[in-house]
Amino acid sequence: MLPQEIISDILSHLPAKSICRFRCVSKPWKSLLSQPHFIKTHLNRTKQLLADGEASLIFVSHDSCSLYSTHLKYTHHLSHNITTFATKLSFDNHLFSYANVFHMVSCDGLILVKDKKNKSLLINPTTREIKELPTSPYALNPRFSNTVYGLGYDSVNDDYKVVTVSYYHNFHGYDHCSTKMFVNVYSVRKGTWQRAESSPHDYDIGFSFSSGIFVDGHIHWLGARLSNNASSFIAAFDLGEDNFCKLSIPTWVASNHLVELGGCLCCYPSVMLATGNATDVYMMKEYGVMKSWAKFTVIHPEHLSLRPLCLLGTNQLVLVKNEGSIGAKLVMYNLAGGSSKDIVVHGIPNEFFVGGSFMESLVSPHCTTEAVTHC
Amino acid sequence: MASSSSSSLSRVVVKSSDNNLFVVNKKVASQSQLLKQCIDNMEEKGTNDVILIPLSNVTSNILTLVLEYCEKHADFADDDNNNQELKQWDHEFLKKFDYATLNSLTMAADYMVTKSLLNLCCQFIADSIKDLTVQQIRQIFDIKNDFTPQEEADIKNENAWAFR
Repeated sequence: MLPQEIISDILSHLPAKSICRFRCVSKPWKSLLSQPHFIKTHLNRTKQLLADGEASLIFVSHDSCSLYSTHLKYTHHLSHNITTFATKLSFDNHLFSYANVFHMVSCDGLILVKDKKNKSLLINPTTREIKELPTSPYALNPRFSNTVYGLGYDSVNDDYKVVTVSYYHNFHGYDHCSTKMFVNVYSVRKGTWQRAESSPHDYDIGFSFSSGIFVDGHIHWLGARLSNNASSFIAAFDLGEDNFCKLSIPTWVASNHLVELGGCLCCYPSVMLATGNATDVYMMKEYGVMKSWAKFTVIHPEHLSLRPLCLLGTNQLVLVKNEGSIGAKLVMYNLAGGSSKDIVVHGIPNEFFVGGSFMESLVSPHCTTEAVTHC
Repeated sequence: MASSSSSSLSRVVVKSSDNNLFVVNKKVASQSQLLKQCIDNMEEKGTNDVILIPLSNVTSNILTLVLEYCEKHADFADDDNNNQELKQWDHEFLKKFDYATLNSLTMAADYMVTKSLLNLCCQFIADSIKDLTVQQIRQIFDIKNDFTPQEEADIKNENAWAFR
């Protein structure tokens, strides 16, 4: 018979679904498979798999306004016709729209998404755990303000954090330089909101209404001075320190959206900035290193909008094309050869919208008190 | 790392629990952190004698398998390009064994601190049990169901999605 330690090691190699099923084996197994330490070990293993080329996606159906998820693998690109099956995630009392999922953010298997009633929800789509975030006591009145969101992991305090950045509407033209930024941070571990310092830098990160992208301990937004709408830098919120720092972008990077692909921070242009039938995506291959910015180009025969979602392996880019219309399609694009294949999604009514990508994990959206710092 | 060339060992002798001796070349032995530690310690002391490492927990048939694995991986140690070939070899290697052998091999890999083999065995076993039912898992791991019927119904309900 195998010793307990090795059994635990074996179980940490299982997919999240098997682990949740095996919690029903016995009380000791239930306790082992729910321990923060086990969940962290499992998370780190899944990240290795992720590097091998696996990811999951969130959809929202146009008719039922409910969330769906599906799992994609790198090896899918080998098949002639790529088909995948979407599973409905039932969350009673919560309905979702395209605008909600378009702004979803994810980190370590958790997603942050708003429902139609504007409630902020922290969800683990794999385990179906859901937590409705309390309203921040420091929140600005939404009628007079704009807020952008981010979600990330603070390794210093072993904590997941939601960050909101808000601005009051400016009714006297667009003199954003005088607009004050309000930053709030929600700690999943503590279950409470706190105010953080606003950025000392002179920029506006709310202009694009885009959600923050988590990479390497920081949540990122593109920053711009309103006088000059081209984004020439990135505002990075350090989750360990709860403050902002600034990352530069080379001037030749003309983009206005951020996304994380293969663990790297990337910029891509909206459809307005795309030229002809090519979309240039810029990737910061080494975090914080200006010289490491590299460009790759996605060529598409029809002139359509493109949004990158995730990178499988080193060269299979999953993207949404023709977004916002009913004809939106998921595509797997081969960066090495430039060919693309449509991904057919079964199990969801034909009309659906695409949110973003997440990884399968056991990380709970609920407050925990026990820190795991030694992994 | 070897402190000087004069005290650098090229081979060690490993003894199994059933008292069989195996002569192992250093590069192969270094795949096991346990053996590597023994070698490093001896080299630091500057000994030139051939060292004997007794492994009281590993039988000769299991040790043969661990060493077969170490030999293959030592060959590939400086060569990342053949990764795919090595992965294929790993899979074929483990496929041959029955459950009892696999368990013993896993325990030996753990004892000899051969991390990549331990990982490989754990992943292989995990892949073979991932689709099993709760009842089958209880049988394989000889586990008593200590939930009351109500508790079991509750926890199954909590994780209902994992049963679909």
